[in-house]
Amino acid sequence: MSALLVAVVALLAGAGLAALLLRRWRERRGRENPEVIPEIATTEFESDPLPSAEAPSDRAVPGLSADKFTQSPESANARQASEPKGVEPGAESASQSAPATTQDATSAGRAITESGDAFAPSSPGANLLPEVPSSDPTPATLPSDGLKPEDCKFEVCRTTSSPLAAPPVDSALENSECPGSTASGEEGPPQNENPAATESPPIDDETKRESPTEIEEVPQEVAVDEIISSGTDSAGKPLSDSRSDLASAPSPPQEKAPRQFRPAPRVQERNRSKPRDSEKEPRTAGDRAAAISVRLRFEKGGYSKVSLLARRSPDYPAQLDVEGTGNPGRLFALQDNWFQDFISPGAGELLLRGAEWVAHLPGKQKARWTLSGREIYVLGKHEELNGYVSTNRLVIGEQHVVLCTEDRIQDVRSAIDLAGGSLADPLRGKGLPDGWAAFSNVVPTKPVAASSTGEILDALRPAPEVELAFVGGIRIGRQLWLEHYPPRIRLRGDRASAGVVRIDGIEAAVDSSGSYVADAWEALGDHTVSWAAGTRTYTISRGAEEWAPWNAYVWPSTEDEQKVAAFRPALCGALVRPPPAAMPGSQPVLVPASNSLLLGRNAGEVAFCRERSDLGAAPSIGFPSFEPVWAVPQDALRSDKRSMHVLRIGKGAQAPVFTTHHQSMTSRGATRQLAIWRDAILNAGRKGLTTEPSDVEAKVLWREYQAAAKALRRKR
Amino acid sequence: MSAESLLLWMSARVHGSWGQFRAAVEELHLDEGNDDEGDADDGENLGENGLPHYHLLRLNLQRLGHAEFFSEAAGSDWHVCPPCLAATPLRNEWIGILVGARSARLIDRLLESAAQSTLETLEFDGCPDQLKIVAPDSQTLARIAQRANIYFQDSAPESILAVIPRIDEAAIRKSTPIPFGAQWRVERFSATSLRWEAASAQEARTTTAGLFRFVRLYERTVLLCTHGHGYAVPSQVGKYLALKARRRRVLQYDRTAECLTLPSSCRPPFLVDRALTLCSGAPPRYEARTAMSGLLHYSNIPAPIARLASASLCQELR
Repeated sequence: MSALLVAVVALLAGAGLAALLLRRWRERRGRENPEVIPEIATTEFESDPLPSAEAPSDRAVPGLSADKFTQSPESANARQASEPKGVEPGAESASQSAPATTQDATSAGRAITESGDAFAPSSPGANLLPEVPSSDPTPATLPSDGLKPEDCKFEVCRTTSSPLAAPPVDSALENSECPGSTASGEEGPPQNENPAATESPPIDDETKRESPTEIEEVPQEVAVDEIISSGTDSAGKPLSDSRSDLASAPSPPQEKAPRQFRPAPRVQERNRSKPRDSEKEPRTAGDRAAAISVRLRFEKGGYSKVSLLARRSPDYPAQLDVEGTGNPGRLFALQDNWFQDFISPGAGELLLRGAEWVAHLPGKQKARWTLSGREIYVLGKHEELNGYVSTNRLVIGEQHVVLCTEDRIQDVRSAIDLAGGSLADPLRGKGLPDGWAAFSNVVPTKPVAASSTGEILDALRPAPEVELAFVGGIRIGRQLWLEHYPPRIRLRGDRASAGVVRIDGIEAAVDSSGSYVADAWEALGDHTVSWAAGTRTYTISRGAEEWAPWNAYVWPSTEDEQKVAAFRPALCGALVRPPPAAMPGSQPVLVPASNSLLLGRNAGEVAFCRERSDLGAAPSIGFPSFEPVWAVPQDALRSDKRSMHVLRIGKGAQAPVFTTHHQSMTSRGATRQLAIWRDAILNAGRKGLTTEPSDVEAKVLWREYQAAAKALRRKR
Repeated sequence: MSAESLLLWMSARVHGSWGQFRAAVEELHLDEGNDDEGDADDGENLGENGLPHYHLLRLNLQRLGHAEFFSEAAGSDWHVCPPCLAATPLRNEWIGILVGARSARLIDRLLESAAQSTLETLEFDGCPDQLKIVAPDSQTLARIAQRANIYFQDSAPESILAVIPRIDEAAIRKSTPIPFGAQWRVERFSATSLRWEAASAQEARTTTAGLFRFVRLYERTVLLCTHGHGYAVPSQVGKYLALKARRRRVLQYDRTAECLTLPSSCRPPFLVDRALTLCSGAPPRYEARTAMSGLLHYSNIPAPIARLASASLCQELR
């Protein structure tokens, strides 16, 4: 009996051991088998309602994510502690989720807020701001199911890969358009690409959303972006190594869908040393996706035009075939930094749902652009573009247009009213997308505290911040303005926080137009403007003052007719240029076709004008290298003396010059020219042609020329 | 800002790319409050919706002789012309129009030089300010130009028209194969209605003479087709060739008013337009008509200039 019991126990123990081994084997197999992940990914991407662009193969973030997931929670926490507190990753990451998860994400953000100072007012005056009506959801309930941080992180990834959220990290350039967004914490890493994720057990959605650990994990994502920029991973390992690690890891299909705008809580801005987005160099191929801007231009008759603008790098081709949401097709360069406007018949849907565009560049590179969909757009004046262009949020004292869906009109009204802006009835139709309305001439007058968790209405809450702007003038270089046409120096935003503005160290005054001026502020040279938050420089310079002509219009233009072209004049602007065969210093002279031989005061100065028989009685044009005095018929003996004359075209005292120098001219050409000059005068005299004008002075002068010609004939 | 600031910017930069030009138009906010209603003639060239404003500015700058664009721009996309006082006889006196580059200093010099003469500033939509100096004779204008250190062109309209080839000169057209393929949209210019009308590529190959426009996406080619051969010509030149083939006269001249009138869809080529505009310093006045193409009226056109222009266009004055 005891032996039987021992045997049973041994059997049970063996079975248990076998079960344990089998389980471990399954776990190991699951870890090594990447096909599990694509199943998850595929399931989630299948719900992607819009066509998406193919992700680039060289995306490095998956590897970094893998590296991140294998870290210990301690190291993650240590890194989180080293992160700037201005980043609210939990809310941002969670807010990438589909609408169903937004409330939870917001709650998560609030959890951070309440436990720390990350959402503290960004300036000393911020506590004086009017209170924002809270629309925040109920606080999050933190689960206590003992989930491991790694597991929870995996679930965060899964959640954010839903079609309405989950843009890969390369879409993060859109940050520049997000109120209070930061360069790093905005985006989640690419989802479903982490092989380590297969180690995590499946967790239901509720658990995923409420997991507190996902909040703790997200700062690692922030660090990932920084690692990317620094070129090393979290362990100081060169990034290329991390990428190579990842290269061997299986990766699921990567698809992209337009994403929704994910407002981030406003963070305290440091004194910016980095340029604004509009001042940055356009991103280049292989970089992250560039933002698509929205532009609204008002036209006559109350009509308006809403378009999308893709940023452009100067090294991009002048035209690109762009694929993606809305089928933008071929885009042409609007200028060095922008492609032309894309006007879509379905603009309303694009604005609401967002857009993802991709174009293939030479060298197998891709350019990508993204627009995060949202219900409210704040449009303001732009330094490079006319009309109103999408911007982060309202700025105090500046003129804006707020574009919103019909559903959001009341929210927008309330928010703008809180910011002190006056509102007229919203514009609808007449070029605006269906289902959208526009509030024009929105000028906020006071700052409003942003919500602590970040919401779309934060874009309508001006921050108590100020920046310096150079407005207008004629800019001929990056920070270079033309003399006499300097920029207006203005403060945008809350002027009260700007302190004293100095131009070249001199305290500046505000003129009637609201611009800052000081002594010699528009003089030639470099100038520096300083205010409480920083400095900016500008230069006043002269432009070109010398302009040389060239042969802009030449006929004929074909090479085989260059011989003909050598004798035809050219044009440049209003200037008629001598033909290439003309003597240096030649000037155009226009005479009637009947008097196409030009004579100068020096014997031998002759020039023939080109006749235009094809133009009928058109004038002839000649290019003498001397100052012509007379225009005579080429064959005076065969002319009609009743209608033809000797034209005096020179002015002033221009008596003929005939010296021994001319007698000694022996070259063949010179002798021939002397003969032409002499015979033209003598033949006109024989024919009895009268001078035109027929005044005494002209007649006397003509007799002098006749006498000189006779003398020349005698010397022959 | 006005087109004047654009010309100042171009003068300071001398030459540049098309992208820079468009960026300047954007940055100077030149097309705010303007719609795309351009001139009907070139509007037809670019589409039924008319011209974008930047394109209208470009055409105006080129027509007035302030700048040259593309193939005429000396290797750049645009190149500002040297400053020049273009002199024109006007009844008993002469007028000088400042054409080409300008700067604040240059204008100061010109004002100083022309202190003894009458100087007017003419403003037109979409055009830089036209500075007009009125003097008793061309020598006075020449001296003013010399003192201001700018070029001088005597009898500018007549000189330009005396230099440019007639529209039927072989130097203007270039033999080009007629495009084939179903992707081309083909239109034929009707000398009767003065509009582009739908046609077929087969028609282009079999016609004895006709002006055809081939459009594919953003590509647009205007060909003069005759007996199966195609010749690329500028659109406005081609229209007058088509009119010549049909012996259709479209130019009207009023000797008393010294006004030359023509349909806006038959706006003359650049250089003829430039010469006619320099006669007064003012671009043509547009007169809209309901049922047909509008009219363009060029003012202060002396009879010899009108004859010369009509001869260049192979037209007879009515």
